[in-house]
Amino acid sequence: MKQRTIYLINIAAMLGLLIVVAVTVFFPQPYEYQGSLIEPPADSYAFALTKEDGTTYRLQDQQGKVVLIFFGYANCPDVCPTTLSDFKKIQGQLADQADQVEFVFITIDPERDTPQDIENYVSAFDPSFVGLSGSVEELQSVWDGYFVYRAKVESGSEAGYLMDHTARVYVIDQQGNLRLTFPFGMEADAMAADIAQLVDQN
Amino acid sequence: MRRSIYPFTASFVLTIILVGCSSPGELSISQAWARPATAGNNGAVYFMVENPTSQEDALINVRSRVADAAEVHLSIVSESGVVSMEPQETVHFAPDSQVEFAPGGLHVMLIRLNQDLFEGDVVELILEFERAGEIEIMAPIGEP
Ligand SMILES: [Cu+2]
Repeated sequence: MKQRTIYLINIAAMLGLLIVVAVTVFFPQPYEYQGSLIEPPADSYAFALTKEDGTTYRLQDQQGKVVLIFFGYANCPDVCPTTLSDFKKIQGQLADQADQVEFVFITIDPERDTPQDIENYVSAFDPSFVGLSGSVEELQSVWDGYFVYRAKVESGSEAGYLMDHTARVYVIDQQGNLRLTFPFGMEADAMAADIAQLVDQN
Repeated sequence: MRRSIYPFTASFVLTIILVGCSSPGELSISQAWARPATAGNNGAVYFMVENPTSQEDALINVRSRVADAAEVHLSIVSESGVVSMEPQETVHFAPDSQVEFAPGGLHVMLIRLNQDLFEGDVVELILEFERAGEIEIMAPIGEP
């Protein structure tokens, strides 16, 4: 009787294992995003800002593409260039998917950054990157739309005032929804993998 | 003649011994690099400071010919994802320690560059330490 029980337990355990193996083989795990996934996807704030060449850049016009947005300022030598350099790495890793992705940098320091300044700053990393500025009034609604924190800090630096600012990357999907955010310091490889997944989904 | 040469030889030998012993144990800078940047903008230089000595040292001044000013800054990213940059008067290096200047942390900020920093070129930077004195480094431009 006891031996029979052990025998049955063994059979059950083996069957259980078989089911687990079958499930993992036939129903692969869904992709797990490494950035912060926004579920359900939220409406993104559809801004329109004037570029250095006088044309208007509308987020709405980018539907069908994945758009990465970062907020920073041209006097920033560390965190902002690091992020733009990450954008460049992501673009490289996406290879032939890269034309389905837009990289956008919006200033949080319009007092100093003209559209020309920000365009020069960004295009030094890649000419396809979009740099945007505008009036404080125009930009305020964009900062608010993405819950961007910004504050001027008189630090005594020779550089003049410095800016505290949100250093997150915002990812807008092909339908124009805010889908993901990446914290500062996330590896470019990991961000590229998430973006590749979003591009593949469509 | 013999008398005068002997102390000279002795001190010469002693100097060689001292140099031979102290140089591997001195504060040193390695893995330096600078971010490419354009004239008129600001730049950043990163490196590793190694203090293998038994005494604390401090970085008290930085300067470079390529910019109007150079300062040591620390970027701090808060839990809510907000970054702030704070100028540092001095940076201390404990005995037998390593401190990395890296993106998103400590960096030498080059303020108002008077020339473009092109990838492949080098930036000359002078770091002044309280004990180790002035150390000149050549930082290659471009991410390693
Ligand atoms: Cu700085």
